Amino acid sequence: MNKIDRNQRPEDNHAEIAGLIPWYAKGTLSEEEQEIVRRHLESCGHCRQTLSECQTMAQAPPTVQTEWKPSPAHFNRVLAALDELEANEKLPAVELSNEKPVKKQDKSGFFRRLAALVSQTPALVRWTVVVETLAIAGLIGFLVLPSQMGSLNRYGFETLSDGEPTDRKVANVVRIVFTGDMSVKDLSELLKETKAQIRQGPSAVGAFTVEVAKDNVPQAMATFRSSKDVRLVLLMDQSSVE
Amino acid sequence: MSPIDETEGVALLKRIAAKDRKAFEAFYYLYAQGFGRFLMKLLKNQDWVDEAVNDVMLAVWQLAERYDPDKGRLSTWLFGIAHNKGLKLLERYHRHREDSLEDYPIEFDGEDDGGSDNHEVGHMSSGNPERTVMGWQLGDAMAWAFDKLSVDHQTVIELCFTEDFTYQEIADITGCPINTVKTRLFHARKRMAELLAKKGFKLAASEEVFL
Repeated sequence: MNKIDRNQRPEDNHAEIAGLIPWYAKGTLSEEEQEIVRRHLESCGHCRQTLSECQTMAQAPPTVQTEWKPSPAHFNRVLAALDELEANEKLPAVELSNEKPVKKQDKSGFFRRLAALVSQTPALVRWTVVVETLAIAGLIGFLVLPSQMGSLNRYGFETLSDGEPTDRKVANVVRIVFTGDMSVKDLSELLKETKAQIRQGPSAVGAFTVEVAKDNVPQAMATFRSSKDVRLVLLMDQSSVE
Repeated sequence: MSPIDETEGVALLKRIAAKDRKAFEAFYYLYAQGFGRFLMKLLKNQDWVDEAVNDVMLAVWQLAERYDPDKGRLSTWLFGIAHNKGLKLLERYHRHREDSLEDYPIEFDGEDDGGSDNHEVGHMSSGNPERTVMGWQLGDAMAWAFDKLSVDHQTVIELCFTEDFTYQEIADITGCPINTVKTRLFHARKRMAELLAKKGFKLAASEEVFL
């Protein structure tokens, strides 16, 4: 409580003293405070009016509905609640089976805590986390499954080295150097015509290593040599040539 | 609240701490009516007050050993528990206190006091039948105005004017600073005066007071 300073001017103490008047009216102030307020009231009409109002409020007779009386019936209910309280306090931890319920409770408690944490997170943050999670999952899938997601075949592209690998026992190797202005389309058609597949290349000097089926080597070599787009063609496996 | 010899109450509380049910019953009949009346002022519902008193008594049973007479009066400790339980009950039942100002039980007939609509009430005098009648009407008006106050205002008015607690004890019961208690009481009295004025009642304006 802010102590009333006897050395202060009366007007400075007025607010402090006015705040004590309700308790002065009830006689519940200390003796010192009671005396201070009494002397102040001798010279302050405003505070005397306040005191009059407080005394009226204090003396207003209580209305019937404010009374509450204890009864044996009510006390019996109190005792019943007390019995239940003590019974719950004495109840030991119940295990219904030989299983270990603790872990199960931990799990449910974990999910409950997780649910509580999620509910406390702002919606914007939650949605951001979801989007980021989906993006990361998509990137992981792209990296882990390259044959499904990385293949360009579904876009209509076909590389020159695509195709089933040729059985090397029935294929010959040919080294070819194409002209610089040969188009990919012309190269693809030439390879189809000669039933050849590019296995390596181009090298640093622009040479390709091509496999040709052994039963088609003569025709393929003739086609290569007659093509205007072939600068150089060399059969590497001479023993296969019939 | 009529003063209760707290020596007896403190002794009973010590026995309650030792789980003595006879002492518990004696304590109930000694103190329950006091804080029950206080709770009735706040809750305005018999069933709710029954439940709140029940909660208070169970708290007394559980907390009896924690009461320290050196830290304050037993009634202060008890009313602090009652105040908390009352507020929790109010929160649970979501009481709304925005009643209509027209919800007034008794209409004053101006002809009964000579035609005046202004009821300036002085101090009660039990030997005057007219003032006794006005006392009943004032009591109803005060109860009606009291009911319109907020729970905080009702609490401080009740604890100060009915239960005779000091401002320090009210601060302990409500868990508020002393200046907050004084401010609340100031505003509560002001609000009461405004409400009474709406129904034609005015608290005494005379300077003839009992110092």
